[in-house]
Amino acid sequence: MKYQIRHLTRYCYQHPVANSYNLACLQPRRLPTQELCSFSLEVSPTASSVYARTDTFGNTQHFIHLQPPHQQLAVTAYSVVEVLPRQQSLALDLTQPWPQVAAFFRQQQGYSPEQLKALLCTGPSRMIPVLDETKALIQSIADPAFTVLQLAQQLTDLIFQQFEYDPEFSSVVTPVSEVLLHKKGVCQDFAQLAVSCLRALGIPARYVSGYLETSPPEGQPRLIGADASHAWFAVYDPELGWVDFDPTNNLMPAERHITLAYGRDYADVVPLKGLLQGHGVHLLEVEVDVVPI
Amino acid sequence: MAIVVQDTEPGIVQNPAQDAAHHSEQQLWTELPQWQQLQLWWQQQSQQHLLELHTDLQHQLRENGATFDPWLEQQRQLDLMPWLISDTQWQQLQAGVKQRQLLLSMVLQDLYGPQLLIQQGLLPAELIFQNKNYLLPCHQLVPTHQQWLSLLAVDIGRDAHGDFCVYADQSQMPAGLGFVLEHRLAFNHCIGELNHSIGKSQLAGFFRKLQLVFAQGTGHTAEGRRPLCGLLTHGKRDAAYFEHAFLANYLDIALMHSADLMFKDGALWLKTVTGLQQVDSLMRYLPDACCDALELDPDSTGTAGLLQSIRQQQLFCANPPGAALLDSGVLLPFLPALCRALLNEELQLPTTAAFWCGKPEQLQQVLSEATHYRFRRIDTAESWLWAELDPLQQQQLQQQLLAESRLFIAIRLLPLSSVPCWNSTQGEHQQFGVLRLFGLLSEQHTAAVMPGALARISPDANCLQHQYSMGFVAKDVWVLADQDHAVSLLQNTQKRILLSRHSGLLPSRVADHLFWLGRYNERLNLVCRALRYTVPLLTSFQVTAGQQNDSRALVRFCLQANGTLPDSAALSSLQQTSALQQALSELFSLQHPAGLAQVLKNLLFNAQSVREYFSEDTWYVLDKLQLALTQWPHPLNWQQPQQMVRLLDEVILLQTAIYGLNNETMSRTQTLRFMDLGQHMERALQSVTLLQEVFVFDQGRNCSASLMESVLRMTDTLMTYRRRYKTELHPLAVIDLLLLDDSTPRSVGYQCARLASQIQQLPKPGAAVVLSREQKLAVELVSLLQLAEPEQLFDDQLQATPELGLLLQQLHSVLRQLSDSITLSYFSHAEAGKSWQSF
Repeated sequence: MKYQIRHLTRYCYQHPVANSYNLACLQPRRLPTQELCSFSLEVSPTASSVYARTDTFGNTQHFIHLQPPHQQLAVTAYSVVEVLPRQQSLALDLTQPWPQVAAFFRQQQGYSPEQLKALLCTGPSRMIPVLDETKALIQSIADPAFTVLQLAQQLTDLIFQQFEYDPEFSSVVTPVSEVLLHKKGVCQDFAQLAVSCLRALGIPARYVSGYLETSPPEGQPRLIGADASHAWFAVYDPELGWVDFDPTNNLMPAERHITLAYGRDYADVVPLKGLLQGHGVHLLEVEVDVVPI
Repeated sequence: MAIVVQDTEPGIVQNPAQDAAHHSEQQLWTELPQWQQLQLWWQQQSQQHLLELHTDLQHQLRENGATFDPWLEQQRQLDLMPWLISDTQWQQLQAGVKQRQLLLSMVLQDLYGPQLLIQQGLLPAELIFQNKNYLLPCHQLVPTHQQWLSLLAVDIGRDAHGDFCVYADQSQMPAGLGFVLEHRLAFNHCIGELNHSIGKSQLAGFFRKLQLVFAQGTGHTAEGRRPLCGLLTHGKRDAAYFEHAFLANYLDIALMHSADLMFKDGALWLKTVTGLQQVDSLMRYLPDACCDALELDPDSTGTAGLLQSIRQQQLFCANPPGAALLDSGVLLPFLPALCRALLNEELQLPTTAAFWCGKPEQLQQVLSEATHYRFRRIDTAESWLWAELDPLQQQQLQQQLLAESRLFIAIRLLPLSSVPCWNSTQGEHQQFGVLRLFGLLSEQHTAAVMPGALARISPDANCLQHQYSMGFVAKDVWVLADQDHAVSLLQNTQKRILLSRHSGLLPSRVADHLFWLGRYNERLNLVCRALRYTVPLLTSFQVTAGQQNDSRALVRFCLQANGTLPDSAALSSLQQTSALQQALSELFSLQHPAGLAQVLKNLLFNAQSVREYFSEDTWYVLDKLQLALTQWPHPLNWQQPQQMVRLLDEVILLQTAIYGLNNETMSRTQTLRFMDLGQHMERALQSVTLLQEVFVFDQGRNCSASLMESVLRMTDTLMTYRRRYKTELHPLAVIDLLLLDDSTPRSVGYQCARLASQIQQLPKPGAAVVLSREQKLAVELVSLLQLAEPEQLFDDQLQATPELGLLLQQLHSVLRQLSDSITLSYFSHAEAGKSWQSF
């Protein structure tokens, strides 16, 4: 499937500010199952300078500097992405049981570069602590005979069944413990919760940010800006590599999920963050359009 | 080989004097001819003379301003006996430090790059990836041809065999470099005779190399532009601020705060009152996470873009953020293996035994003799000295260790050796000592080690290794050398480099502090002067109605002077003597926002923030002012008004000295101009307020002769008045003298003329044809006074007319606008940033 994506973030400030600095992680990844056909980043007012760099995980981060005083800032990312069918069949039970995977990453003997990246996602991170509660949660379903993928699927199902999707409840910085306590949250909360659970067992798990193509209700036209950013998680199997799971929708991402970036947690892949002189930032709007072409 | 260490009970401090088992440095020293020479000299000195020398030495630190730090509780001291290092020992240490620095630099390069060391299993991944000091945004920050670790401090003690042994590395902020220099200067100053008789290596050569490395920067400085180097510091709240200021001055580089810098066009720039100046190199004394609020800790005040400018290779930063990974001690257990793997040689300088607790057998061994270890938890950067914990804490730590063993490093404490010391209370005695050596590694892989060290001594060997607190006792360290080898501080061994701080380079933040320093200093002066005449009025045995009236105006003035405007009800309630006395005691209270102490605190705050801009004498005076604050009489003794007046006299004397000293010592540049602007701005504003309170507040009442006399005395203009008028006091004459006349240094007219001429000299953006806003406001001020009709300011009954009230009000308003405008044009871009993020 091929998609045209527009991701707009608009901010306004109480007073005109000079010199705002922003870091954008808005360029979709190039992956074996995903091609980036085109990408452009539009900043309004015009940015004084933009620098792109590749971070540890291979995501593209754009450093944006706006020097002249401005009271509004709009950053729009335009991408054309082709998502290819994934190879994974639903044979989740063919690889080794999860305790072996956890043991492999504890043995400290030497790793491939890819396994090293997995190791980076094995322990707690700034936004995803490993809690006794998350450990208890996953242990309730962790049959030692399960493969990593079976376990991840069970976990995805558990979160989908037991947690309520509530856009009013959380903000970008809702701690995992709060989500657990109230059993509510949005996609990034569920993704972070799942990651925390898997890491509690020593299984590498990472946070994925991206988009989801949503179908308009039957008979109605697609509304511009009706879509949103999405987030899910991936788990590492030493044989299959990283495999994605979407706990918000209780499914394994396929051609309708577009991967933007991944990292240890949300903090590594914040779509847009900034720093400015002066007071008061007010988010006006975020608009995302994912249009199949 | 098993390491033999005598057992000590937990919590019991070893007494170096009685402990015969450990190695004494003295045994090694006694064989040195220089030591015998030193001993001989020592025996020739009388006890009295030694005492004087010791006092001199401490005084010298104070003179240098080294210990002038109000935020510091403990004070650093310098021991009278130098620590000698023989040439043989030095060769060994020097080679060891060089090798170590190269090794550590390569390890960092790998861990923030290809991570082969983890791939090959030489380092456990968790210890790095879970490390609080391992910062992912710093990945591939430094280009491969550059060194990761330009500066390194190595902490060394002696092990049970008496050999030098490293117990820690400091790479985030190699503290102590400035102190070493300062101790040497103090020693040279006080005990010069010894200095000349014993040959030792000089420090200057090392610092010159340091200058060169920073002048070289990234090597991308444009042709013809002098490189701008800075020392990045936390600012006045940092206990090490003095050291930073001292070091920056010595190296002739600018002291910079995060707020002084901004990112633009791929580089970092210093914001100055004359515009932006590109920064080429930074010697960083700021914690890693605080360097860049955009990419690292968003709650810090770090300059956004600092990391990006390093990536753009426009900024050389030593050491780059991320280097603190070493300080966590995480590499200690693996260094010998890493050295073999990376350099293909053995580690020359032994490192104390250290273990990763993630291996069960090592954890068991460490726990079985836990009192000999300090423990570090790498994900939280916490550390513990087992022997200092109570049983409950030990139990808690043990639980943590067992549960999270893979996140712990155990570092064996060295027994240390004792060194001979001398201080005024104990005379000659023994204490434990450690050394901190400093290494420099430049791009071309050339390394240098400073031939000296920071030596710290203490009766507690464990604490020395566990903590680096600012209030330590230090020793000067002499690396012995033949006289021939000695390099004089004054001798030019290499081509002199010019790193001069450009004269026009005044950071906006500094200008802001100087402006407010000028304002608070003047405010303090005026309030003290007002109080000096108010206190006797309100403390006389029987306060008369006249005294009450006079004091009322002065108390009102004082209450408003510090910018906190009491409401009109509060002001008009000042009727009875008791209410006035109450207000007066509030002005003397330490906490009251309008009080004298608050003004003094604000003055000191601004002075501390720009300490490096003052001469040593000014620091001394500021120290005395600080002292006045700590000895503030509280509560007030109304029976002893003279005590209060004496205090006021002293404060006035000291703060006047600040003016004088700054006028004498500060170069005639923008630096002084902003302070001068502040001073005259304040004097104009306060004088206007005073005249309002004296002449305008009580409509329909004549100003008493005694009050006018007090006002003339306060403003030091009574003599001028008498010379001019030789008659009794007339309000119009007083107003002319204090408001309109622009030849009296205390009049508002004079202040406005001064402000106008100073503003004329301020740097202007570009070649502006029209007047700046500040210039326009200054013109307005001057013309308000010039156009005033003196005859219309008082009526026939000698009462103030509404015209006088209006004129004063207008002056007040324009002055405030001018102050705001200066802030906007010259200072305000030095604001801290705010961070935000989106989903």
